[in-house]
Amino acid sequence: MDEQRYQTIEQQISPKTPLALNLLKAFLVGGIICTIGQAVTYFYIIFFDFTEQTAGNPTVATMIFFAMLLTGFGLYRKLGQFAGAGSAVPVTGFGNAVISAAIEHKSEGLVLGVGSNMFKLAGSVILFGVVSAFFVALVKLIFVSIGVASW
Amino acid sequence: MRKILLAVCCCVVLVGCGDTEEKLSTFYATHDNEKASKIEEILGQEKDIEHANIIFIEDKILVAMQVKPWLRYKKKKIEKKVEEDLTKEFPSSDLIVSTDFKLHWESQKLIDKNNKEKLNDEVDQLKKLSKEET
Repeated sequence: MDEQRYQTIEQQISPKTPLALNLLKAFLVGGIICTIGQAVTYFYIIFFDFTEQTAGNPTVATMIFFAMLLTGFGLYRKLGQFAGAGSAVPVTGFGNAVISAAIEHKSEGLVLGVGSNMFKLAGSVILFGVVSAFFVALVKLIFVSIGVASW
Repeated sequence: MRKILLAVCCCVVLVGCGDTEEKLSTFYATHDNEKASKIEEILGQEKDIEHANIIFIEDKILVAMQVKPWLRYKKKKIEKKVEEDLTKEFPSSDLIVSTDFKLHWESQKLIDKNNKEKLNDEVDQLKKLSKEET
């Protein structure tokens, strides 16, 4: 069987991706995660001395903590299978990437296993996040210096 | 199941439509009525504001606003505009103008409590909070 024939047969046999359904699932689950995040923000604003501007940091930390618990109990995997990008794109996906890599390499030891592999997936997120934040801030600094925008 | 879901959705939408709240809540710890009516007039004309809490203490004025949901992205702009308008009218007053939810929530609590003792300290605390950035 040549390569082309194999590909046509493979395309005929494999089931079609339900694109609209997947989009809907991702939209709903992503929306629910963000709603929970909003609730956590309001919790910090109402019960602690955080303003809308400062509540972002503890909210992100809490959401990552929730995702880590769910990953540890094996529930985030099920959510990921159901929602796809809806569970991976919010910040909870980042927590899942960190803790799942840590669990995976636990058998290789604490330092060389967990320590060196924990940020294998999420490391790139941190690196590109920091680098892009730096450049965005630089661009804004230039705009502010020119007088086009203000802080 | 579908019928229940539909009923719940209808209830949520209808509850969201209820809009009976007044636009301004004011608390006076001063007797300068002229100042108060002027500020209420300025804020009453502002179309972008959904609700505003105003607290007067001697030379201090706290204005905590909530902007309309679709204008949340313009919050800073609206805040600046209102602050400029009020500074023009009351150049000698210590103005605290904010669109932050925290300030609105806390000022509502102060208005509901209706207690003039310690009000100055609590407003100072809110002013400190509004200036925090991280």
